[in-house]
Amino acid sequence: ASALTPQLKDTLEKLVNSEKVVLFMKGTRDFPMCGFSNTVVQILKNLNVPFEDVNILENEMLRQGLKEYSNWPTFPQLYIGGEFFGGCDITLEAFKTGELQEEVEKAMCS
Amino acid sequence: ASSSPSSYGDLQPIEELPPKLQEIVKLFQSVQEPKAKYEQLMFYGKNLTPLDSQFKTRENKVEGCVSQVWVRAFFDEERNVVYEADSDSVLTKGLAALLVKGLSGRPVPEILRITPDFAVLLGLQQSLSPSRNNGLLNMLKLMQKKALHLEVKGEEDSSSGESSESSFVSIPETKDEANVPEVDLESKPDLVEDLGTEKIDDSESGSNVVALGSRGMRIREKLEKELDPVELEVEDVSYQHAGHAAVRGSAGDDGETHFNLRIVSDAFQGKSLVKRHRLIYDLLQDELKSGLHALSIVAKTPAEV
Repeated sequence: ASALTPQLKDTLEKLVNSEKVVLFMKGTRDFPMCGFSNTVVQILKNLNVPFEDVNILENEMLRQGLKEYSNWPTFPQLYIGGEFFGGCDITLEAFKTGELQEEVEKAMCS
Repeated sequence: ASSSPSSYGDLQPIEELPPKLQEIVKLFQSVQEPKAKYEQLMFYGKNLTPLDSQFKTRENKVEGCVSQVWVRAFFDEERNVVYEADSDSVLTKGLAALLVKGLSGRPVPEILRITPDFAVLLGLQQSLSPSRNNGLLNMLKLMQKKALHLEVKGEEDSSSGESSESSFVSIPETKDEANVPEVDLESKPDLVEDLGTEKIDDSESGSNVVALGSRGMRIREKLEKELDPVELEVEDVSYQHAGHAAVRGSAGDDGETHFNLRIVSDAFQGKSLVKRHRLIYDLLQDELKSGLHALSIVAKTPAEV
């Protein structure tokens, strides 16, 4: 059975586009409840980029739906400009290479 | 009862912390008396390698109301982060030393995973003033920030002027610490004698290699077969997440929940990182559905190595 109903898909689409940068994480930006989510929060704070944090531990439907919507089985999940960008490993790697900064800038200017 | 894991609720499990920080937290949890914890901090402070005065710069310096802290970070040969710190206040120096000891010698990603929860785990909150507790967390933030900058630049961060939010740790020297007893610095604290500090120092290397269980073997076989890798490392790091709230009760029979994968394969040619990771997740979807909780993935083509 798919967790992703048409209504939920619609909700998620709005959610990932609610800000230029949206982070689906365990806990909140101020109280991350997982080291991997904590890592992405630090990176985003370091970039000084405004972002929306969504605590997926507080909504099981959202949590299951997102795994399908993003085609990504774990959290955190970072969305930039409405597009899935990656999890913790990819975000840190992209920060290292400067690709993340580029993507964020592109999204901010669009 | 304060040392039983369950009383910490949803705090970051201690197993996720760097090995030396784990040892320190366990040491602090093993004693109840604030005085003993305080003395241990003083001991760390006294043994802190002095920071060369050339590094007590504006970039590394942190102006507080009265006490000041300096933190510096650099890579060792294996790209592990090494910290040095100093303070003009003995207690603050002890806190800085605790972090230097707990974090030094670890890779950047591991340092970035430390959440502020560990301050609660230390059980120092009752003995420290709120401003000092904040100071400890700000120090951690600055050290993590320096690690992040190191990862990008590979060298000492010297241009931290731009974003001020976490660049400055301020630890006001307040008089509200009447509950902290005066101690004789010359007397060697019991705690130090009992548990020692030397054995903390080489606890991490070697002993953490875990033989693969049945899930680990299945993962290795599957990736071997489907990706024809020229290099494949499958490392079971479930022990680091044993206390993880999401893992308890859902880990299945074998408890193999967290793995580090390093795969070098031609199959990744022309694929973005997201596509490479999705490819791996797809191959392992049966495992993900049966209790595999998280993968840390390095996926490269032979040309990228």
